[in-house]
Amino acid sequence: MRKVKLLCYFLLLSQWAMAQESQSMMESNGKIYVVLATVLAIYIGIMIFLLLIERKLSNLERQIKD
Amino acid sequence: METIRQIPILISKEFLLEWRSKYALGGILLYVMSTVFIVYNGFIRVAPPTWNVLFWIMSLFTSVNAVTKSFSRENGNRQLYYYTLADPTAVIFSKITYNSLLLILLNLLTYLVFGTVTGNPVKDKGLFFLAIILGSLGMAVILTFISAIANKAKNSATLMAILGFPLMIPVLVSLIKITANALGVITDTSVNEDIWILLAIDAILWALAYILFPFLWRD
Amino acid sequence: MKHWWKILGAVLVLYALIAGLLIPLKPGILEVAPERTQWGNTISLQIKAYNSHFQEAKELKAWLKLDSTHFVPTSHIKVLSNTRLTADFRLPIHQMEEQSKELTLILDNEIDGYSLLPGAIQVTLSDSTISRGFLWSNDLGRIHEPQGLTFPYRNILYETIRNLFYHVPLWFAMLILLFISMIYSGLYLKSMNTKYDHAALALTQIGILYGILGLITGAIWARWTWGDWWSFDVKQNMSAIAMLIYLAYFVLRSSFEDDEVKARVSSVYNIFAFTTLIPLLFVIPRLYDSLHPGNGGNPGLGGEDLDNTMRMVFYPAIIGFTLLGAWLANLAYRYLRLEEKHLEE
Repeated sequence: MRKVKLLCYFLLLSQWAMAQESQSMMESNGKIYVVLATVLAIYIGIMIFLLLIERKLSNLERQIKD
Repeated sequence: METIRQIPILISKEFLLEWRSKYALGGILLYVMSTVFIVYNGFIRVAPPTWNVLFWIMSLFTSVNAVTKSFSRENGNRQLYYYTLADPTAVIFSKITYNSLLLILLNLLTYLVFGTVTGNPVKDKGLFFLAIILGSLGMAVILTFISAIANKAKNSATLMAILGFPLMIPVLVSLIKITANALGVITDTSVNEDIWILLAIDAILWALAYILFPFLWRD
Repeated sequence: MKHWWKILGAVLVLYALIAGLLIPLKPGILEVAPERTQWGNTISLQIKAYNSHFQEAKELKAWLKLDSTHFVPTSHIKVLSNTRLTADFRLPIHQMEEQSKELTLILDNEIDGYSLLPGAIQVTLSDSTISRGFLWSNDLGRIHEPQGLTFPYRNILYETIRNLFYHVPLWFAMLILLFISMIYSGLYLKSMNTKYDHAALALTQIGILYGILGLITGAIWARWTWGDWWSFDVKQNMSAIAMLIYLAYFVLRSSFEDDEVKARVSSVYNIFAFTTLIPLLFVIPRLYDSLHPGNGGNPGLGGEDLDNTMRMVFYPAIIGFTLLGAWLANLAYRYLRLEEKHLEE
């Protein structure tokens, strides 16, 4: 459930960040920055997943050690 | 053979149960009437496209109300008793059949009441009834099956809504498109194709419910 | 090499990133001014192009096209920069009944090849009755095919056509992962071995991760091409509902305490849910008009939008993202197994 919540935050944050950027920048150079934003979104999404699994795994390791 | 023999008995059991708890059926009827009345007060004259969507929304909530109790009205001990007596496929088959009949009846009633109160824009009656029958079959399968799943969990009423509504949308959207044709809101040459698709969805879901139910049954 | 498929996945995604971002867009025409004129006028069109090489090109040519046998060749071209030029045209008196016609602009040179802009200029009926006697030409002569590896140029889309390699494969990969997850659920029901249920759970998690990323990237793409984050496009709505169906899977799992019942019931639900997903994603979106390609007159994949150069990147991207997803699911699965083992001890 926490994963879902985090992803929701991420969605809001990315929308907010996009809105802050000026229209002209996203439209410039043949809208190449839209592609950049897309690739970044995927990268961040996968990183969030890796972070979550990393943290869960560390917790489990600590429990096993105890 | 034993399974087939059990089915009519189980269906008549469902009817008997419904008849004994008349307040439940009465509640649903009251629900249909009051929704129609609220819609009537809100709109007075309903334009055909709105009529179409409102009809299926009312039908959706009526169906959910009617089918939710399908498994939960029999308490644990009584269910255990059935489990020892009957074949699981006979149980799910009779429940789905009974719920299909109930939903066809309720949807026809909704149509009748809604049609008389707010005006009846249906041009192609045959197509509309076909949509009601196919829709009721589909909704009955999905809701009965979800009711069986939800019954396995705690707070099954909430779970029923969470699981049921998203699964209903594909069927409902196809239905709205078909009845839009029946109302003359849109003219579409591929309406036959839509009916076949809906029929295919119904058949697949029915078969799946039949295959998967024995796994829910075991305890 | 036990991990070959993980390496393959990483390599293919890397290939999709590099090839998808480095191959240039085919040159095209951005905009033309003025937008309207009258028959019989001599006009000077200011043309802004994209990715073109006007200054280096030697054989610059331009036409206005009415139909396949009516062309107006340019009388004079003045190059302002690599992407800007002005071209003069002498329009003939038009004999046809219609009030106004839209003409297509064609540019051609030996470096960029030819490029088109349909509806570049609207020509209305002339006020003056003086005929200047400019004539139609009925042949283009020799034009140059575009050379080298390029992605197609599309107005409105421009460079975002590259999103095809990053947004669309997420959906394909999601469906493949969810399909495998459904198979594992079936295996669980057959064998009642928890390991299959864990595999199904891990695959569903990654499927949902991809689904949510697909929605986000789709929203970003839609914002800058269709104009809104959420356009209430049928495919968008249906995908959101698909997400709801699978989020309900997690809610269902969390509402059981007994692990065996949880695994059994959620496997049953998983199979049922995937089945309702099939008409949701493939059948219903085709029933309605959609902004997505392949619907209601929009060109579909496999038409002009997906040319051979794009296929070269698109298909490896699908395989790459699927394998990457399988790798991520593998991590989640191993965690679940470890947790189970630990709880048993």
